[in-house]
Amino acid sequence: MEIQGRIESKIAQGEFLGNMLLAVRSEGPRLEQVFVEHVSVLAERLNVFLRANGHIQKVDYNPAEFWPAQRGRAFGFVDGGVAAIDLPGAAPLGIRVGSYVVRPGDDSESREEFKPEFSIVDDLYAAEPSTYDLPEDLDDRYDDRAKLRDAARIISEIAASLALWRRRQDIAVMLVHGPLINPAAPYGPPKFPYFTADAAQALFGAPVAPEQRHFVPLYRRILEELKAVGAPVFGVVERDGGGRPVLERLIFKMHEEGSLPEAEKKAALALLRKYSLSDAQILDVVLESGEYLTPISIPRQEPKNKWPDNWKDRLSGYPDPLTTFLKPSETVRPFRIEAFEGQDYEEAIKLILATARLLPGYGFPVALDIVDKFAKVPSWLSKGIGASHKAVLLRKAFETEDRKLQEYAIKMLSVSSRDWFFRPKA
Amino acid sequence: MSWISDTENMIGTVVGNTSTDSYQFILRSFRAKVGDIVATLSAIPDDNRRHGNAIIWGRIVSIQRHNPFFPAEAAQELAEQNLRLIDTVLSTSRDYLNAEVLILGSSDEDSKSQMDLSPLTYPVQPAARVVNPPASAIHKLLGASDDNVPKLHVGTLLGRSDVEVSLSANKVVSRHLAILAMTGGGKTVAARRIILALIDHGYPIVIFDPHGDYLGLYENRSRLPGGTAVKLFYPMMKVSEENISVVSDLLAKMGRKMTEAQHDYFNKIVSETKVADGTKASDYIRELIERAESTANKIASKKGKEEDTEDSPKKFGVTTVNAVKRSLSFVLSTLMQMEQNSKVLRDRLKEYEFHEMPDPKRDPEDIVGKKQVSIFYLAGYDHLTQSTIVSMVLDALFSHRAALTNRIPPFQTVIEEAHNFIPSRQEGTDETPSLSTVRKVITEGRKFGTGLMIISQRPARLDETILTQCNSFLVLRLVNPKDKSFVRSVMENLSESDANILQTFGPGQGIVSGQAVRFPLLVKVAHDKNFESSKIGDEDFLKQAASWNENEARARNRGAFTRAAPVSLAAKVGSPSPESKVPSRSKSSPSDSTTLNFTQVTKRKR
Repeated sequence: MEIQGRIESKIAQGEFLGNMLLAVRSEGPRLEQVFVEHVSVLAERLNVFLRANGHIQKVDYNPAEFWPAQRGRAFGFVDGGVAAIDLPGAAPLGIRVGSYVVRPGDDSESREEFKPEFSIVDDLYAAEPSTYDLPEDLDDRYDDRAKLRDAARIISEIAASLALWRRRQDIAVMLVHGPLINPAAPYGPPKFPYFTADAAQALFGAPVAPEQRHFVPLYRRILEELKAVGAPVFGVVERDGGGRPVLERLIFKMHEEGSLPEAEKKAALALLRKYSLSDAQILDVVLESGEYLTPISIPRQEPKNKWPDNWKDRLSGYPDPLTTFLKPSETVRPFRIEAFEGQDYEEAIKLILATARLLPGYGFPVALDIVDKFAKVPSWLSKGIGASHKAVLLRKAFETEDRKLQEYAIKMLSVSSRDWFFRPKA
Repeated sequence: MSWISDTENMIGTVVGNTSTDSYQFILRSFRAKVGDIVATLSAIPDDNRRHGNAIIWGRIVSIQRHNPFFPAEAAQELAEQNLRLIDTVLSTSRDYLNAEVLILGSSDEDSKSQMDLSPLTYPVQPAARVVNPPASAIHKLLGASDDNVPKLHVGTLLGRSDVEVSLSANKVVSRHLAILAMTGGGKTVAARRIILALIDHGYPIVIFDPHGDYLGLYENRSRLPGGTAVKLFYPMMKVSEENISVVSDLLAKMGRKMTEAQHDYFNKIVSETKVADGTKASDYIRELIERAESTANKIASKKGKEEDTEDSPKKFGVTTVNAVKRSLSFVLSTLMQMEQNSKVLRDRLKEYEFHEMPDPKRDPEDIVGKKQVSIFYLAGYDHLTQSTIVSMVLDALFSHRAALTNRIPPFQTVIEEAHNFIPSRQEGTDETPSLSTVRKVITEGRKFGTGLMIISQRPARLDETILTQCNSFLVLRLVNPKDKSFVRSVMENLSESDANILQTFGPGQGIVSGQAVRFPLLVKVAHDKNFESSKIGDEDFLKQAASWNENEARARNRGAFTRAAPVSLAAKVGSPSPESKVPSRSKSSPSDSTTLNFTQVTKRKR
């Protein structure tokens, strides 16, 4: 191995890091200058490019006119909260999805409506479709409980949006806290459990056929239903997940349309990738207060090579969200907004801007903050759910009179496996 | 179903850690207020290692209201953009009310007639339901069902006009009561209410009234229960052998400071001047002045006889004698001025029949009698004299009770503006004769039925020893921090939150605490408007000033000799020609006659 190759290998193993930091410190100003220059070039070129091609739009913030004009209209906001229960076994869950519907300018008692649209305190999943029974072999359970919980939260929120729309069709704009459409592939690997019949019915609002009770088909079904009924629902994403899917997609799209030569495309992508800056980071310096990117359709289920074989056909038909970034004011970062394709978004953007400006320091729609607090499962409730769940699990285990299963249940519920109870028996 | 388990009465749920002193609960919107009495059912153990349900009574001492859905940032934006919250998507309906309850005690769940309150010995159960008791239950709690005990009706619970509040009459008349409030807080209204309640019982009352606040009782005496007599007295300083020192006190405090020789001389003439009981102080002082004058004359004539050697200049020089005489003359003129002031004030109240105050020693029956209210109208006199009068009267009446002469019944004394009669040490107590008298009455009065009602707007300026002897307090609005902390220091059972609420009271709202009630209560004092004086009250000074007419003669003569002479007069003097007019100042020019004259004079001087 050549010397340089050996050094790179050593660095990859974590060596030379101290020396590298020293070098960065001494070379700091120069590196910093290079970074600034690079980002400035990127932002400047992107700015000119986006504006020249009409990809940046602006919405005026004039609250004195905007809010009185909304008098009597209903706006809905949806968010979910998950109880912090760390128990093994059958994916114990405490989820609450709340909605907040408000009519600005209405001074009657019916101005506001807070409602827990959906709450689960249950084992969300069964080992086999449509059953609550404990599986024969507990070791066969799906281990990645964080994934189970995420899947439950994602589908609950969108299910609650559907429930809210079915109940309140007077809502002019509905905002959901988080992405409107999430990647479904991570929740489709083998052994990822099905929902129980009751849970699936509660989510969809109608009985669901056994083969449809899995996350991948059910989530898609709910999304399609929501899109089909024309619910004016928008996902507003608080935290930037990293990556540049929007800007890269934009460049690809323009190239595909023949508006951007290959060489320019390559140069643009190289610029974007050099420092691994995210969409939000770059657009933060490109967009001005009240500006947003013209929404663009982003494929959310890619890459296809990671699709589980069982669900390839289902994943290929998922809807893609129209995605944009809105910068609410000079001092805060832009955030992502998602809508169904074909949805009229201009009115929603105005509402999102006006509600985000009500939190000038935080720069995020205030009503989503309200519904977030409403839906949040408090720690005392989480503890209560955990305790009840332990009791139910133990009772079920002891009802079986199977000593092995009982011990297993106790072991699962104990804090640590190294406990006096599990000392080796003679 | 009992009211305590009726869900209709439920107003909240106990949260957090509880103790035997207090607990907190989350309150349903608009279901209770600070000061409200609430109840909760909780199991408490008994002596037999069993437990049973008891009603835990408490009073809401604070409520914290929080809207977690309303970020401060949003408030800033609303203000900046001049937006109404209701026009936006912000929420107003999710208030979170956390009420703190001070536990009063516990009673049996199944008490039928009267509820005996016992100290709570076991904490309230968390998550217990908190209930707003019906008026009938609070009535029972306050002991209203015990009809045999005489009560003084004060008003209603603050915010619960359906629950009447009364004080224990016996505790008030034997254990003393202090009514404390800043100006405008309603202390006179409260005192009048209690006085009227005492009148209902036919209890004798003596009121020392420096401002005439209680003259309305006389004016509206026809509304009082039959047989009630209201007498108005104006003060008259009188001397007797026993209280002859009053004159030297007056001299010491009103007159100039005397030298040792002057003091000796004064004592000498006092000892030589006989005083008949009930002699007016001014007459007696006049006699002393005459005696001093005679001495001075004798010294001046230098014709003193051998037997008059004590008056001879050998012992007291003419300067000493004249100095004493001047001091006495000064005191006399001050005293007479005050008597005159008092008379003028009384003359304004023509409908009121004032009597010279009786000799409290000789005729106590004229002051204290069954169904009699005696009001000493002290207006016109300075604090020292007022204090002397209070001291004299109270001392004499107390002596009658203490000596068991059986001449006067027990009575209640009301002292308005008490800070002038029982000032704290910092205020210079040695100048206040009434201080020691009141101290004596308040410490021993319990035995002899001479109760006190002390009323003041500056509690911090009151004598602490006296105030701590008051077993009951009615404290209305107080804002001054010194007053509030002083009140807290003398009222053992006033909590910090109670002290904080004092400044928020409106007129007539207050807290009553001590032996006269079972536990501290927030009250709204009933206002007896019918007994307000139509002559004395809040005067409209702005109106008076606007319609003020200067004394006619004074106005006519203003400038009689200082303004410019009239034309006719000027013509007689002859300087300007008869045709010319006196130039007005506004028409004057630099070259007019006045200026010229002045210049000429100046030149002449040069």
